[in-house]
Amino acid sequence: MTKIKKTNEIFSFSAALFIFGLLVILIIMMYPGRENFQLDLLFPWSNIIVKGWIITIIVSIISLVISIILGFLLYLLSKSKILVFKYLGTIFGEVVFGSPLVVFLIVIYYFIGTPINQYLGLSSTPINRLIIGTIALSLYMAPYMKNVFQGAMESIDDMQYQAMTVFGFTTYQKYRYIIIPQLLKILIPPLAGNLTFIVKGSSLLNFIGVPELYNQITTAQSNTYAVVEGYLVMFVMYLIITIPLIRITTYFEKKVSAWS
Amino acid sequence: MELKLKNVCKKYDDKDILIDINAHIKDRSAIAIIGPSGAGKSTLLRLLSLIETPDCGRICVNDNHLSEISPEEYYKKIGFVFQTHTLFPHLTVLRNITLILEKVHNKTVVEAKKIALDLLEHFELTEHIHKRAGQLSGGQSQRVSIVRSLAISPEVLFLDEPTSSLDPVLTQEVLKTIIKLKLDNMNFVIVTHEILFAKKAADYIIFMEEGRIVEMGDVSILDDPKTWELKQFLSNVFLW
Ligand SMILES: Nc1ncnc2c1ncn2[C@@H]1O[C@H](COP(=O)(O)OP(=O)(O)OP(=O)(O)O)[C@@H](O)[C@H]1O
Ligand SMILES: [Mg+2]
Repeated sequence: MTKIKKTNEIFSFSAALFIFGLLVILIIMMYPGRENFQLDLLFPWSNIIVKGWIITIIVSIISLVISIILGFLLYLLSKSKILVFKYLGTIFGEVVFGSPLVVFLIVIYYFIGTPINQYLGLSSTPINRLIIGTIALSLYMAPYMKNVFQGAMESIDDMQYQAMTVFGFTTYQKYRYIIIPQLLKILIPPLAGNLTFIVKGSSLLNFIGVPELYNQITTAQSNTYAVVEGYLVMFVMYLIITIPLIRITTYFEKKVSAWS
Repeated sequence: MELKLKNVCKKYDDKDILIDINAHIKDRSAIAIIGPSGAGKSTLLRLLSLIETPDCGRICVNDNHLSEISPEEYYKKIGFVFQTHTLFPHLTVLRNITLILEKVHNKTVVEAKKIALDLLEHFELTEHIHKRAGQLSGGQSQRVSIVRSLAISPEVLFLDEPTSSLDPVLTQEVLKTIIKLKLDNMNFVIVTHEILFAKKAADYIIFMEEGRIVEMGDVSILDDPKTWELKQFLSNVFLW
């Protein structure tokens, strides 16, 4: 029974993939400038493009880590008995949710990053922009991460805590065997989802001159005039990162939803 | 088991929930607490299991003086089954049981597994050992909850309306499990709305109303109530 279902699933998925493939071929065949389509123009720039791709990955992972930490702090703020702290978090969250990422990045860069640079007497090197950009991206993601933590904590119901106590678990054992294992599994899908969001969002760091994938491809494009080819490569290189992440997300989502 | 309650009282926010509870019950293994909603049945059970402490009075369960024993120590000797099942959703049925045996009761992996498997077989749950709570029916989950509490061989098992969240068919399934406890001579105290079941499963009845014990005695009091309140309560129950 399940085997038939599985085979059917694989077949349908391959079919869908095939249809998409046909669509892509069709689009290329119909594309007006296809005679001038010269992917090889970009080959000499592949080093730089791959470097940009790696920077995109690194920036995303670092932003993920920082925003998880910031998000957890925001979560703690939201639980704070001191109302000022709580509202500080609320206001920051609303500002973030209310602003487009690209605007937020630019504002942070020009109004906070650049003045700090000037006070410290630093010049705006690519590394410097990369650091500011990563921090700005992390700040932007922090309220989203806060929501992730909130959702995860709420999903462990009160009765379980009571039961753990009456079974005689120590506080350490409760966290070690019951709470953290559940949290980890509950957290994986939204965290992977947010990582996808970060990867996509990191392309906007281009606007403050961070040498990530988008930025590097732009450089290659302006040197080779292979504009269309550049965008196509960019498209594929983002998908190579994001599609596995999306698959991880749905895989673990299914697993976790089987609990309840 | 032996239960001793002396001048026990409990307040929530200055509201009297339990008022001067006195009882001395000896040599009974199955006690049912009945009474209308809000009578304080759950509160009494929570005091007996040391989930909460009384505001006055003394409670003894067997040799345990609840004001002297540490909760951690006492929890290792008792079991508690809540209204809804409290299985840990990320663990299998088997692991739900063995985890407690291994980590809290210091059993070896082999011992824990043997205890769990024997009990699950005894309660006809063997086919479910590798499932998680999400894959079980409400009745099955609650039965596993009961088995999990039994696994540590508690002196007393406390059950707070274990069937109140279940439909009638699943309720029967869980009640059968509890009847089996009775046949095994397990000591238990159960809060229940199922009067017919209490008649079958319990040998001692405590009837509560508005924070007091109004009547208690052997199960025969259900057929021959002495107080007007219990008569009234039973006649309402059997109306349906
Ligand atoms: N944690 C609490 N805080 C405040 N009041 C409470 C609390 N727990 C119970 N009460 C109150 O104590 C009274 C007795 O509650 P209890 O749960 O013991 O009743 P019960 O007999 O178990 O009722 P039911 O059959 O509905 O479960 C109720 O009026 C309830 O509102
Ligand atoms: Mg109750």
